[in-house]
Amino acid sequence: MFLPLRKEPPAPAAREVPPIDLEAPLGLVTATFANG
Amino acid sequence: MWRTRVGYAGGAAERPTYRAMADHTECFQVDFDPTVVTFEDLLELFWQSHDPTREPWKVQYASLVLAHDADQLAAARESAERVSGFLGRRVATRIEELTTFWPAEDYHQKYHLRQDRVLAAEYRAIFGDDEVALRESTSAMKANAFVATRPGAAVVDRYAGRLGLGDAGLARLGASRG
Repeated sequence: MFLPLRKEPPAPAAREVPPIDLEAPLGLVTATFANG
Repeated sequence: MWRTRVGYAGGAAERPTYRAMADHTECFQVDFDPTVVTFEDLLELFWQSHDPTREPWKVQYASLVLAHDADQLAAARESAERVSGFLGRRVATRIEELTTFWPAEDYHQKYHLRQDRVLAAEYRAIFGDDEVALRESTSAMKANAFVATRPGAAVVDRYAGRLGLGDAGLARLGASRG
């Protein structure tokens, strides 16, 4: 029996991570606020 | 400023959502480089960004500083006292230690950017379905801020080459090239 070939759409090629995302320095500090 | 995210905090309920926030407040977090900007600098911006003497009509919209350590707690209390003295009124802002920050649903993160079809498609091409990567992206944070505040080409151009966007996306941000 021949099964029909299932044609998957090509996965979109992920682009490179933005350069600025890789520039974060060590030692970042987090602050949490709510301003209404 | 390197990363931002919005979420729910200040309450005790487990796993709050936008529809069921319980005793939590809508909050935002910023990850900053303390060698460039200080927590005290952020407190100044915080006080200037709203009227801290106004009593919230709903806990969802309260004014809060949720400290991550004893130093932040002391700095926030000291700063609030100074602001209260300057304004001559009691500050309604609650200053407490952060217990748990619950990130908001994906569709609340980088909200302004998501409303722009071109930019949303550009970031989808970069991050695919990885919503955490988008939420934690410095590029997405900058783009979101640029869409919301329209700072002009002089500011956007300083970052344009590092955002990883194509010409169409940069044009949406108001860059001079693109």
